[in-house]
Amino acid sequence: MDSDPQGFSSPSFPKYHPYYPLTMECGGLIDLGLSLRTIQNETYLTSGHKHCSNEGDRRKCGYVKVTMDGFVVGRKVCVLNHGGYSTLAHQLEDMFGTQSVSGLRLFQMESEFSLVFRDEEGIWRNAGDVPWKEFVESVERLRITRRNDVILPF
Amino acid sequence: MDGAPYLRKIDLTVYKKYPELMKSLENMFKFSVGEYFEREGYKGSDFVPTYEDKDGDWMLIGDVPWEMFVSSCKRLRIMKGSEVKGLGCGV
Repeated sequence: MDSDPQGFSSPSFPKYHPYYPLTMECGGLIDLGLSLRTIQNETYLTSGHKHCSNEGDRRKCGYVKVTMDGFVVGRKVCVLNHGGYSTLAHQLEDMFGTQSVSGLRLFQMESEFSLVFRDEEGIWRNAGDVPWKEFVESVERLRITRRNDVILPF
Repeated sequence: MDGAPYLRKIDLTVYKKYPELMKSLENMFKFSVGEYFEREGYKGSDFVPTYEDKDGDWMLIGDVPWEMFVSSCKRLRIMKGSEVKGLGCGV
C-alpha cells in the first residue's frame, strides 16, 4: 500500500524493526482495520464452548438480558441458577435495587415495579403469571418496568 | 471512555479472561474499575465498564462467560457513574 511504504501495518511486521518500540507504546497492537466479527468466527467456533450469538441460543444457555427502564446499563442473569421466582427477585434486587430509594420489591403488592418477560413467541408477559418451569423454558428477555408505565412492543 | 479525547482499538482475542481485559483498560485509560461482584456489579469506582452487544444494547461487562462476551461484543464503553444512574435514583 502506498500509504504504508514501510509496512507498519503488515501482520508480518518484524519485531526487530527500529520502529518496534513505537508500536509497543500502543500496547503492541496495530489496527489492521479488521472487523472483530471476521476474526472471532475462526477463533471461537472451534473452541468447543457453547456460545450464544442470538437470542434463541441464549435461552439454551440460560443467560437472559435484564434491563430496567430509565437505566442505561443492562445485566445478564442465568435463570438456570435459580429454583424459583423468589431467588431471581433477590438477585435482581441486588443488581438493580439501588436504582430506587425503596428498592424493587418485585412481586410485592406495594411495589412500584413489575417484572415482565418476553417469551419465545415475542410476547411480553408478567413474570409470576406462569409456573416457574414454564418461565425458564420460554423466557428470552427480562425487563423491570414501573407499574404505571405502558409497555411498548419492541 | 467517557471524557477521553479519542477512541482506542483493542483486540479482544489476545485476552483469555475478564481480569486481563480490565487491567489492560485500566492501564490504557489510567483509571480504576473497582472490584466486580456478580450481583452488585463494580464497586469502588465511579466508572462502569460496558459493552454494546449485537442487539445494540449496552450491557455490564463481566456477567457472562468470557467466550460468550467476546462473541457478542461489538464495542466497549467505559461510562462515568453519572451517565449510568437512572432517573430518580436515590444513591
